[in-house]
Amino acid sequence: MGELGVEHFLFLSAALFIIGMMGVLTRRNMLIIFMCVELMLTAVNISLVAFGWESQTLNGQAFVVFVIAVAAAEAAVGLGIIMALSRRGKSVDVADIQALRD
Amino acid sequence: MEDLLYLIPLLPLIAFVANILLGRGYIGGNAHWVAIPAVAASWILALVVFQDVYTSGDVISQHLFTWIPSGDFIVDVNLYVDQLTATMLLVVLTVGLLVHVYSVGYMQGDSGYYRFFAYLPLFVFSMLMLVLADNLLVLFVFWEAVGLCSYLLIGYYFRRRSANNAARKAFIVNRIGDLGFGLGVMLAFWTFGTIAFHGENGIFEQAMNHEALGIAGGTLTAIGILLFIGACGKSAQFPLHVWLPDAMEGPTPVSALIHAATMVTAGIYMVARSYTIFIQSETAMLVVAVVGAFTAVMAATIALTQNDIKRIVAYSTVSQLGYMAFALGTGAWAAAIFHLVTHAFFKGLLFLGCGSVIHGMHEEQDIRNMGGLRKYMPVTFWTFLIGSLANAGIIPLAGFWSKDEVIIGAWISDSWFGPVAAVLGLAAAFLTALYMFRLVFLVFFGKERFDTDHVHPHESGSWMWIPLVLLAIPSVLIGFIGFPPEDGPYHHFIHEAFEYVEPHHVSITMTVVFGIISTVVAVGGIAVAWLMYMRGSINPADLSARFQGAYQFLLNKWYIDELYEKIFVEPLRKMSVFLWKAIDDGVIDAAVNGVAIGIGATSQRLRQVQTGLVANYALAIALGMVLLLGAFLAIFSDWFV
Repeated sequence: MGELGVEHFLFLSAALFIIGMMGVLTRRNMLIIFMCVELMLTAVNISLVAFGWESQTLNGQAFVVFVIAVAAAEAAVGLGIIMALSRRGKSVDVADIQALRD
Repeated sequence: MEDLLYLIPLLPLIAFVANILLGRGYIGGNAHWVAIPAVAASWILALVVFQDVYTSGDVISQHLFTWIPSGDFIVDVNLYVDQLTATMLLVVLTVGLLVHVYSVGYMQGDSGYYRFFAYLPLFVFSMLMLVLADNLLVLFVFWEAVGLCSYLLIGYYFRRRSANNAARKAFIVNRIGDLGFGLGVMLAFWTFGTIAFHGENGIFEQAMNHEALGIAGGTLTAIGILLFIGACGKSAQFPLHVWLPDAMEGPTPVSALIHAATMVTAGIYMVARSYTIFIQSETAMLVVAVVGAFTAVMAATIALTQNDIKRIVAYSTVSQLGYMAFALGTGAWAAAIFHLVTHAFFKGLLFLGCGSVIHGMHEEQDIRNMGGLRKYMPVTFWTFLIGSLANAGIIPLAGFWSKDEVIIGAWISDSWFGPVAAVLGLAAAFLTALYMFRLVFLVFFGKERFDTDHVHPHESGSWMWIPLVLLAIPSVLIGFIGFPPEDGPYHHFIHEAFEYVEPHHVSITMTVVFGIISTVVAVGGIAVAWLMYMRGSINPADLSARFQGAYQFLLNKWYIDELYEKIFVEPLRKMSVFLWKAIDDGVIDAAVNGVAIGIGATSQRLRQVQTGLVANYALAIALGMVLLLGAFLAIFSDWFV
């Protein structure tokens, strides 16, 4: 077992990011897609913290605080949209929401 | 007086502006109280100017402003009154004023009353400027302006389709003539380097000295003929005469003022004004003479068979304008203007008389439905009779003196065509007497051929018959300004304006001989009319049945309208349809629509990409990002190397 390096965190981050992305691309339930987007944001946060840890500065951590704040705001708006859509169409399946296509 | 010259055209212009702007809302039925005083004041001023020119023998001119100062091309707006213009001013304003007064009665109660009394002063203004103009361009501008007034007034009853068509026809036929005129103006400027009439470098001086100045005679011929094409349009000479009879769709006072007395003589005036150009070119003179003589006879033959009272008088106008034209063409300048003056009065009178008849008969215009009107409308009858006698050329009425002078002038001219024109003129004189008295006998004599129970003809009111009487007086007497023939006060006066031509000197014998011949011819015409329509010894119906071909030919006005329909209108229409269907629809629209359809079809394909599924978009974003990252790494890192 070698020493813990920045690349371990980056692999974890990449794995999380790809899992989140695959969820966004393949799932059709909007709520799950939304959660996967959060997962992708978390993956990015991990890499930011990892770089911050490696360079011994607080820049990465500061950045992460902002990302979390934005993600919280985004969660509020996104969940609101999902609520509105589910009330209107009784469905949260993205395949059913194509009004802009036509 | 010279300072106030501008007031003569300005006053009618003010009347026009007032009536057109305030007529509908404020002036309405009182529009004539604006127009008549304005024209009357102009008339008084014109009398003073005439008096001035007559006693002093000098020319009056006034510089108003420089219109176009552009390098060598300078257009001044000058008013210029010589003997010719002074004569025209009086004719235009006298007839104009009487027609204004007459219109009060004739147009009473018309919904467009104020409009009528706006256009009429506008016409008077334009016509005055036309005769006052001192260069070709200003003349041309007001030449067009009178054409515009004519168009507006022919189409005055714009709810009638025929009136609209007649107005358009007049406008279009005049445009053909104006094309010639416009080219003439350009060629004149190109040749002389100026368009001013008078002055040392004016066109007229240059035309007189053209040999010294190195201007080819052929150019002068071309200018003359081009100007005469314009005159043909305005003065209704063959082959552009077709608009004038149709112009009778307008109200009758308009026919009297514009389409008989004044505007149609603008062409004659213009040729007379530029006589120095014409006397340099035998060819141009010959063209004018031939066209005029032919028109005189042709229109007279058509007038024989027409049944619309106004059309007969209209063809008579065309015929009389033909007289004036061949007088110009044979060098009888003074005689042409003399005939213009006398004709303005008696033809104005005849038209106003027609209007009175039509009014009294409740808008009936067909002479076959009239008859016996003598006892219903005595004033109209007597004045109409005077006009007809003057038109027929019976001594001592106005038409006799001027027509005789025209015919003698043609007879003694240097041109080979002169005697021919004189004989044609005499033939036309016979026809004139015949058709005029056919009209008089059918309208005023014999039995009533209308339903006397329902139609009650009545004499017109005093607004209408007073102008008739006032026009009848000069129709009798105006000829005496030219007495003795070729040596009267008129001749001494007008010859000042034609200073470069030798006045005609005619022996007393010749005057008397021609006087007797033309009297015999005219009385002969009246006698034939009497035999045909009063005594009945010659039955006109039999005559027309026997000479069916000739009768139809004349009744259909020599088929000239039909000919134009075939030669010009039909091919033009076919070409337009071709341009519309093949070029416009087939090429231009097809190209535009083709581009639109092409883009539409492409877009239809492309929109398949937009599935509306969020997952597809997200995949595209992810793949795009991977591609970009890959490319970035390939370029900037050494991983793949």
